[in-house]
Amino acid sequence: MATRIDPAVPSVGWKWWLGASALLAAAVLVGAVVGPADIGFGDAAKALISLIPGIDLATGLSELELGILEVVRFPRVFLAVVVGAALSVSGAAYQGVFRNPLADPYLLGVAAGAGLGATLAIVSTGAGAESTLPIIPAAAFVGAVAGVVLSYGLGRTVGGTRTVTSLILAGVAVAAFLTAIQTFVQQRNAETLREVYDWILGRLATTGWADFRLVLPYMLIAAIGIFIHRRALDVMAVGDEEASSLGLEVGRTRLIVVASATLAAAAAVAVAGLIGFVGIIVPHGVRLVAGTSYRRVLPLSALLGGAFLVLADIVARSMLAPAEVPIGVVTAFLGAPFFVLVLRTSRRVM
Amino acid sequence: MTTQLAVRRLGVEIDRSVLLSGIDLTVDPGEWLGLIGPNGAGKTTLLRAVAGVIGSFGVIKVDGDDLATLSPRERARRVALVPQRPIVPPGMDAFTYVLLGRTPHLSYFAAEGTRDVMIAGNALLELGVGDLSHRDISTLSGGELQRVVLARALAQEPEILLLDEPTSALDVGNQQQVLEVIDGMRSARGLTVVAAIHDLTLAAQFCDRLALLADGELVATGTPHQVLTEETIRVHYDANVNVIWIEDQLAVIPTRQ
Repeated sequence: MATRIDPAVPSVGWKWWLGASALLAAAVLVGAVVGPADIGFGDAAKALISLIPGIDLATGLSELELGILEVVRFPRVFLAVVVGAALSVSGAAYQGVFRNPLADPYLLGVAAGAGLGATLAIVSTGAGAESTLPIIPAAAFVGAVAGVVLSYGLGRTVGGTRTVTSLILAGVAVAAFLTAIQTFVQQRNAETLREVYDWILGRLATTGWADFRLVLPYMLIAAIGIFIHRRALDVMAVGDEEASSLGLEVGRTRLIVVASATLAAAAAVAVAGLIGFVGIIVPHGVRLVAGTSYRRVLPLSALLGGAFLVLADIVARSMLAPAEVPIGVVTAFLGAPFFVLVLRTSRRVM
Repeated sequence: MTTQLAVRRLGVEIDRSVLLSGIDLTVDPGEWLGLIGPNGAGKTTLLRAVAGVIGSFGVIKVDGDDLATLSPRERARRVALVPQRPIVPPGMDAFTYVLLGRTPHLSYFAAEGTRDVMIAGNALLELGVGDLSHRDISTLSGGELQRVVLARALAQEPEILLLDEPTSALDVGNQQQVLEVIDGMRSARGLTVVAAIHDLTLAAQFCDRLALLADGELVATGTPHQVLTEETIRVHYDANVNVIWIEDQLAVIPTRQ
């Protein structure tokens, strides 16, 4: 019998930190370089570093090229990073609190609520995706949060002792209901069909840093709410009853994590529309290579989720350039086969 | 001698059906109380109520403190529950699993420190499964898993260990070994053990006292030879058995007519 134990509290080792950060940095650079204007890696890197206040590296770029980087490409790439990170982390968080590998940020009516909110905003104001006022994001955000509040309230009233299942079923019911209203409103206002459709398929088209600044505070608050519970999510892996016998306040933990994950997902949906599959494939990919502890899954999902969406966005805007493929189509196109692959190759992931 | 666990007029109702009512029980420090009774008698419900994971009426006192006044963390530092079929999260290694037992000792957001790592490691070693610490617990055998789950309960450093059918999934050899290990833990740490045990012969061998539950009520308590009579077992289990003595040990043998 072995009497020596090599004990380790689950954590992200420095190799993982380094590897995931390098991948993210590389994705950001590629994202800044790809596009009609020909800008080299070195110059893009210097311009990137110059974004840090107080640092100003000389580049060989013209005013116009610098402008393209600072006003068009960097804002878009960074928006992709935070949206990808938010969707991935909130997906992992939902999977943790519901102990359900298929749970994702859209589970509890986030997508349906946001869809209804955005549709109502587009129909009632005639605002398009290019509208300068953040009416659509605000309406989508409110709709997403309302969808989850409705699901949660419904799930708890009918739940009794079977909280998790009833919450998920309530989410399905609420989503179906909200989608029905959304479809009805959409059909009654056929002239706005294209605007609504554009929004639903998801896009990261952005000019300047307004969208990024709009969502960043919500995502940071959400990140704090989720990351302080990274150990609690490991405890919840043994189920509500055992977690409770270990002294965890399961109901409170679930409420805070769901609220945080919803905040992050709603903020992401508000500026980027419905981008599917990210919240499922990124955390599952991470589990496959780095193990199932949320103390590894959450930080790595944030970094690699950001990188994933930057790369998906590069595909979206270069595949049919100068036209853009909706990024939601790209993530689904890449995500669905990847998902099947994950299911096939690993029966031990969740 | 003070009472380690005192249960007064305990009742449990779930979805308007009464699962337990009027239970009065006391358990002394270091004692091993066996809960016996037919399927559905309320053994598991009683353990869950004492562990505080389901609501109940009446009073449960641990070492004089009313369980209802303790926070979940305080409660979990004093009472550990090993369920009959623990949920086994795939992909979690045994060491991380045992570390979960430190949850009630950590402040809300804290991570485990050196002391927690040592306690978890010692728990694995004490149960003879130190070599499994890196294994994915979903790949363990029944006997190995039961030891790892016990190690998690031990890492909680409780005063009272609640066990729900700790041997029901094990072969006869593992049943004996696991019960011996529990007995060893009990004497080494002065633990009080309350265990639901299906096998009446094993219950008689290991428990100081037995409490017989039937239809949610306590129908008999006492030493194994007081409780385990052919008449009692016939009435409450609807079973025909011979209770015989082999040397100084009581054995319950089913008979066929």
